[in-house]
Parts: sequence; structure tokens; C-alpha cells
Amino acid sequence: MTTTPVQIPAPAAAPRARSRSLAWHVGAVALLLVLLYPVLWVFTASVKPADEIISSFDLLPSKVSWSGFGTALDGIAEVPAWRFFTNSLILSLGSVVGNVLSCSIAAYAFARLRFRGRGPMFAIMIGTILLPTHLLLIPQYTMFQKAGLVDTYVPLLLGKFLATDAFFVFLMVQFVRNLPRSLDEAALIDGCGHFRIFGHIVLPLLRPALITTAIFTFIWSWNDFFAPLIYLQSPEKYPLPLALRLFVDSTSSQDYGAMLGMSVLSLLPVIAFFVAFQRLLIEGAATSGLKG
Amino acid sequence: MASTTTTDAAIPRARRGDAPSAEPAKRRGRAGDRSAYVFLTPWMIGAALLTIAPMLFSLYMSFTDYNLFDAPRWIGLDNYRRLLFDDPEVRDTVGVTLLYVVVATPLKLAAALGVALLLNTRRKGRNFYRAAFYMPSLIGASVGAAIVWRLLFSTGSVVDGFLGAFGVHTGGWISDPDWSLMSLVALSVWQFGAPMVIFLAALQQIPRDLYEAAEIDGAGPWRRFVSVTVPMLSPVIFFNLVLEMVHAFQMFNSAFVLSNGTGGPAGSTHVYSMYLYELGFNDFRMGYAAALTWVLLLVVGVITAVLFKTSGRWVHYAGEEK
Amino acid sequence: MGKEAPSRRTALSALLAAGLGTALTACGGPSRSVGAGGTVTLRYFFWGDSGRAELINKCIAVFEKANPKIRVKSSFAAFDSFWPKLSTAAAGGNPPDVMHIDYAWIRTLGEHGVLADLGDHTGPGKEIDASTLVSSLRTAGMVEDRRVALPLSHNSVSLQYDAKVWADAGARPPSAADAPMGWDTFMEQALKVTRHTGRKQFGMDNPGQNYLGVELWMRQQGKQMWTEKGELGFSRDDMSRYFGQVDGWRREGALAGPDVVLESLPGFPISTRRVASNLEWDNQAGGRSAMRGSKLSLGFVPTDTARSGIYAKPGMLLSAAAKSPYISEAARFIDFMINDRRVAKILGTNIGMPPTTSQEGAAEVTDPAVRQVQAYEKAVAATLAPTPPPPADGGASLNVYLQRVAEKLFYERVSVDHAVDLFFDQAKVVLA
Repeated sequence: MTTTPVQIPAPAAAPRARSRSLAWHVGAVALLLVLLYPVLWVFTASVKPADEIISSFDLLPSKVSWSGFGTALDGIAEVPAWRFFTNSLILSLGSVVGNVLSCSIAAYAFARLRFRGRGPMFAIMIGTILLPTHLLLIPQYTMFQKAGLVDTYVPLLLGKFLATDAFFVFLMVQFVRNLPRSLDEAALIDGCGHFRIFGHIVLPLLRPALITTAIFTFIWSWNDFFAPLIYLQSPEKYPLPLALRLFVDSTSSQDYGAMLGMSVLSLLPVIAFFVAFQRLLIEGAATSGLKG
Repeated sequence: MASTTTTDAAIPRARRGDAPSAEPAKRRGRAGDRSAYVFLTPWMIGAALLTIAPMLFSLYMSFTDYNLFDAPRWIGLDNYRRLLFDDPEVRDTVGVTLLYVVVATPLKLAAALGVALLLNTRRKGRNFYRAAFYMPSLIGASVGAAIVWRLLFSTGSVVDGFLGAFGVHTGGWISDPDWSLMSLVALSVWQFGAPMVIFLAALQQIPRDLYEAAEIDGAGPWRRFVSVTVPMLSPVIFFNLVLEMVHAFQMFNSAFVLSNGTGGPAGSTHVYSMYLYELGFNDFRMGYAAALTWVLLLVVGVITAVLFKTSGRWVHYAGEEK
Repeated sequence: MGKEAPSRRTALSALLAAGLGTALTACGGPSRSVGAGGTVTLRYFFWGDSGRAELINKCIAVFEKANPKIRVKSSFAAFDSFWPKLSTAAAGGNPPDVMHIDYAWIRTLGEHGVLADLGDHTGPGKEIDASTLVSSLRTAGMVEDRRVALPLSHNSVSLQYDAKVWADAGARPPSAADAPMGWDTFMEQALKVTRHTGRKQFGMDNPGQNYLGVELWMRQQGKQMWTEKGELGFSRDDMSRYFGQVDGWRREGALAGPDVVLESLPGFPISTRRVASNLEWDNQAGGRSAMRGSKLSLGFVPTDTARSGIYAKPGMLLSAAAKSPYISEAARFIDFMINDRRVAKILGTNIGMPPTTSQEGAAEVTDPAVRQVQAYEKAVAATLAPTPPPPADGGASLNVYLQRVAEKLFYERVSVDHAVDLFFDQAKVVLA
């Protein structure tokens, strides 16, 4: 293989480097404090007494109240809270698998292969990014309804396995096009077909883009509200974002405490997923470093 | 199975070709087509069924009077005529949307690139920083985010107090028709995580030796940024630019959630997509809403096409050297 | 090895294609066959929070016990998201058998054949007994001559106010239903509150900012919001007068400016202690009080005429889908919900006051918030007008537009006359 890990020289422990490093940390932390203030607020607000949540500017609660979390964990109308987490997890992980597989395959073809209809097809692919999705819903719904698939996860997942998230196809196309062609041409001469080039050369090098796709897909499906709202009917199939809104129905009650409690709880898995995967992102990139 | 034999068959021909840098497809002809179509099968099915068919249906709807429940009635260009000439709401929402696109897109990209460059380091704790800087984007345009944003940009809030300390007295942005859109811009810029991660991933792809070579040539940090980082990053700069622009044009969630679905104050956050949504789901004027969708699609499509056309001049693909 | 990789991927694509193909050729819609033993399953959509869902599920359990051959499978969402959920399902030809409907939608859905005409299932010996409906609700749910819905509850507009804040400011709240306060007198009192609190709390939230206040005032003037035919029931002059009045009160400081509403989440300044009174449906008092952190009293709405303007508003209505194969079963469930005393006992006033005489007084009331609503309803019962005609097609979005125009006026971006012109121009576009 022509890839070789890049040796990163350890920074010299000279005093000057150390003070620069300190300045960097100070700057980064200061910026973070500003950016994370609102996030912190969501966390502290979740333990505020109910009447303080929407009327107080203060970051800290006057007294700590865990009742929001209590209500959140009680679940909704006989559906326990863990169920919503499990549903969200199934949908998000399913979407990740679907997007990573289907988008990388399509991206390879668009980026590396020359074939008839490539130009128009690429234009269509980009065109689908531009579509406002709300308006496609009704024809799509009608289709899934005719197929008897409403109130299943199929309408929410099928598109992911068919590379309809053109955002990720385009993202990977951009990455593949930036990989040196010499690698796959050498492989082609060595007798590899496109499937092997894709599987053995492009895919490993594409790792940062694949992980990026996995992260975004996970987070976005985790937060997706509209499609589950439309397609799911049985409350025991609801994912978290649907459950969340049931705490703040404008016609019956506005339990912001429970809503924020549930929000905080639902943030934890995404944070965990992000932390775990972005580590891979960096390691992946470090080991796939190329000699141009 | 069929594709296996064709690719195998293609290789001897490829071997015969003596110029390895030549376009492989030209040499391999139909066989290349075949494997490309195999690779594209899932995408083609998905696009045809889930996007193109519904799209064509909405194109048809745009020439009809359609209320979702009765059969569509053909009215020719009436919808387009009305939206171009007779609907003051279209004019207002287009103004709001364009302002948002022009302000939010460059600011968000700049924030994302700035932080990505800051974090593209081998310093200790980089994993922590990357996760922490992404945190705002995890919240999304949720009800939680809406509550915080309202409190942050109300009169007498932290932001108001902070700006006041510098002698800038704007009052609460959220309730001021002149500033409310900027609070949405701020929300979008604050959630710079997605383009940042993409920039970071691309920064990792830049071969170290390019920087080393530039350094040997005596290039300073700025010079290295301009002559190595920017060109090497140009495919993803282009990607992020297109995507963020398109997203800005389609902005809906944050405006909807922050204004309780009214587009207020006084219509100042009433964006085009919100109007579309109201027409479709509140008024059931699906035909008219479809016409608005197609006009949006056309405008964004033309802008994107122009970006693609001009991209050849500044976007550089390492895998496609001429 | 070299031959495995491609075939695996080809197989994957083929599998996906085949799966999709079968999924789509199996068209013809999901089968709604009658289950074993002749059991019928009704699909039922409603809106509300988790608390309401629990109560409704309890009602369903009682119904299923009494009707062993009918199962009810419920689905619910919060109010703001319920509408796209329901309308997409209806547009896709898949509306639920039974659904909760807001009064603003019944004309739209009723006129386009989505809702079944329950007239055929109502009457002596039929599934639904509508003779028990309280008299002011008799016409609620009728679109022209068709009974497309039955009211499940009713509420009335009230004046919510914080009695303590008013008393501290030395302001006099409106007293009794038979001796209502005039609007000018009321605003003088409200101004006292604004002054006393140093504008921390305004006397009242501006009622001109949404249709509630506009409709109330128009009705007090002998006009109405919507005519039987679905046209606006008031003129440009009427609206100019009303906008002129409320804008004057806003300038004086009796009414809160539009910024106060916008800085309150979720648009209720009474909950964030920025105003000391507002116009609101009476059943909301409990929830608002809880968020506000102090008790809200229910007072009588001011009026300058002999009319109070308030009426029995159906808080929720129940409809059956015209396409449902089980309309008879759906009608039985609807009758159960509006007439069975056990339902009233379970629901309390979660949805509003019970719609029928058969349910009246069924709920044992211990909750003081509910008692308060009942006391108010009792006091205004004599002045309550029958339910007016439902809003026109597009009426819901015209309400949103009204708010937008009112904000432009109260931010002083447009004059009163200009605001009225904008509203009527948009009405022409929307109602065309």
C-alpha cells in the first residue's frame, strides 16, 4: 500500500511554545464560555422551580427542584420514558447504517466513474438538496400509505438506504474527488475492479467523511420531529422529540420543567455519540494521512 | 455477477492502454457505464420514487387549484401570476429571506472555519474542545433552544446588558422588528457545528508535507493559509457555501419555533418557507404553495448553478489535477 | 476475494430494489379487515399533553369494557403539531376513524367531504343522542345543514386578572355579570396598575393582538367574526374603530405593547408576570396561574353595550371520517364520549365544561381551579349566546395574519387605516 502514517513531531517543550499553548487554551476556554452559556442555561433551568424557568434571566436556580426529571421519567400515558429512548436509538442507528452505506456507494460513482447521463444525474442529485421537504410530504405520505407502511419505521428509514440524503452524497463526492487518483489507477492496473477499488482503497480513505456522515445522521435523526410526527401513530413507537413536545401543549399544560428535564436527558446520548465518534474522526484522519 | 465479468473483461483492455493518466472511462466504454449504474442503483430508486415523482406531482399541482381533498383543477399560470404580481406577502417574505441568506451564510461559514482552524491542533484536550464547540449544534431548533434564545435576546437580558456596557443600546432583539431577524442569524451562527466538523475533517486530509514545503520556501502562517489551506480546503468551502446558502433559503424551524409560528414581530421573521407551510397546511392551498415551491427551487437552482459554473476557477480537487 | 466484494454489493442493491418493489406493488391500501370474533378497531386521533392522554386512555378502557367488539387505538400530538399530522393523513386518504377537531377547521374539513355527516347516526334509536346537548351548543358542529361534528366540551371567554396586583394598585376589577364595566372605565383601572408597578406589569395584555379580542368586541357591537356563508361579519369601519380604540389605550399605557407578548414564552405575558390581566378562555386559568406563580381570578368581560359578547365555544369537537368503514362504531364511541357520565367524571374540566346535560354535574370537583371555572360558567350562563358560525376556509391563517397586522400597528409601522386595508386585502386573497 502506498499510504504511510504521517509521523507528527511532538511539539518542542520550549518555554515559548508553552506560553503560546497557554494563550491558546485561555482563548479557547473564553470563547467556549460565551458559546456554552445558553447550553449551560438549559441544564440549570431543568432544575429550576416551574415558575422560574420562563421568567428568570438568572443562570442559577433559586432552589434546586428535580420534579421536572421526575415527570419526564414517568413517561407519557402508559408509555415508559425508556421506550422513547429506545425508539430514537433504533431510528438514529438505522439511519446511520443506511446513509453510510448508500451514500458512499453513490458518491463513488459520481466522483470517480465516467458514464452516460452523469452530468444530468449529478444535477438531479444536487437538485434534490434544494427541495423544501415539507411539500414533498403529502405525495410521499400517500405512497407509503398505499403500501400500508404508515405507522412503521419504513418511511423514516427507507430513504436513508436509498441515498436520498443528497447532502451526504455531495459531501462524500467532494471528499472522494480530493483523493489522489494515482491510488485507484494503480489498483486498476493491478487488476482490481471498481468494487475492489471502492471497498479496499476509497472506503478506508474516506473514513473522515464516513464518520462525519455517521455523526450528522445520528444527530439529525435524533432531533427529527416532523417526519415521525406525520408517519407514526402508535404512541409506543414515538421517538423522543415527539414525546418532548407533549409536555408543552399550548391548549392543556406547559410543563417546561418536564420538557427541559426530558431535553437534558435526550441530549446525553447524542453527546456521548458525538464524543465517541469525533475521537474516531481524528484518529481515522491521522492514520489515513497520505503522501501526496 | 454480470458486473464482475464485465469489470474483469475491462482490465486487459486497460492494461493495453499505455497512458495511465488518461481518462479510464474512455478506454473502458460501456463496461464503465455498467458498474456505475450498479453503484447508483439504490440512489436511482430512491431519487425516482421519493423525490422525483413527488416533485413532478408538485409541479403539476402548481398549475392547479388544489385543496388536498378535492380533485386538482387546472388553472394554467394563475398561481404564478398571482405570486409574482398580486401577493404582498410574497414580496415581504422574499425580502426577509434574502436578508437572512445574505447575512447568515457568510457569518456562519466564517465562524465555522475560524473555529475549525483554531481546533486543528495537536494540543492536549483537543477532543474535549471539539466536542464542547459542537455542543450548541446538538440542541437544534428545539423548544429548549427557543426558550433560551428568547431569554437571551429579551430586554434586560445578558446580551442586552453586555452590549449596553459597550454603549450599544438595542433593547431586546426578539421583540424589535428591526433586530429580530438578527437574533435568528445569531442562532444559526451559534450552531456552526456542522460546517465546522466538515472543515475539520478536510483540514485533516491536507498532507503535512505541503505545509513543510511551504515553510521551507519561507512562507509565514498567513501565506501558508492562503496558498496551502485555502486551495486544499476549497472543495469543502464550496460544499459548505452551497449547503449553508440552500439551508438559509429554506430556513423554517427556528423562525417558526421562536415566533410561536407567527413570523413576528410584525412579520419581520416571516420567511418564505413559513409562508409556504402556512399556505399548504393551514389554508390547504396546495396548488399555490407548490407554485411558490417551484419559484424558490428555480431561484436557488440558478444561484447554485452559477456557483458551480464559477467554482472551476477557485475550487481545486487534488484527485483531478489537470 | 476479488469476486466476492462486487457480488455482495450487487446483492445489496438487488435486495433493496426487490424490497421496494414488493412494498409498492402490494398497493391497494392497508387492509382494514375485521379481526377475529368480529372485533373492529377504531383509529382515534386527539391532541393534548401527557396528562390529557392518560385521562382519555382511561375513558377508552371504560368504553372497550362496555363494547367488547370495538377496540380503540389512539394517537396524539401537541396541539400545534396535531394539524399537519391530521391534514396529511386526511390528504393521503387515511384519516382516522374518529378525531378531535378544532372549531376553526370544521368548515374546511366538513365542506370537502373529509368528515362524515353524522346526521344519519343521530336521533332517537340511532347511535348518537344529541338531544342532551346544552342549549347554547345545539348548532355547534353543523356546517350548513350537515352535522359534521359533535362538541366534546365548551368554554367561554373570561377576564383573567391577578386580584392582588389590582388591589395593591387601588384598581377596581369588573364586578358582576349583570352590571359590567365599560371599556373606558376598565382601561382607567388598568392604567392604575401600570402606573403602580412602574410598567413592570401592564394593566392588560392588548386584546387587539388576536382574534379573541376582535371577535368579542365585534359581537358586543352586534356584529360577528364570520357569517353563515363564511364571509367576514364586520366592515372596515368597525375594524378601524376597534383598532383606533385599543391603540389609544396602548399609547396611554393601560395595554401592554407588542414587545411584551413577544418576550414572553409561549406568548402569554400573564404567565411571565408582565401583565396583570388578559382575555382568555376560562379553562386556561389554572395552567396560567401555575406558571405565573400566583392565583388568577376570573372576572366578567367589560362591554359598552347590553351584549357581553361571550358565547359557548366548543373547545374540541369529535368527528368521524367520511371514508371510515366503521362509521356506526365511530358514532357509538362519540356518543359515549359526549353522554357517558363516567367520561365526565374522568375528564373533569381538562377539555372544558361537559357538552351535555347528561354529563353535567358528574365530576366531583375538588380542584379549586376547576371549581373556579364552574362558578364562572354558572354566573355567565344567562348571558351566553349560542355558538356562532364556524370560521371560513382559510380562517385559521387569517387569524395569524390579523396578529401580524396588529403588530405592525402597535409597533407604529403603519397607521390604523393602513392596517385595516392590509387586513382586508389579505382577507380577499385568503378567502377567494
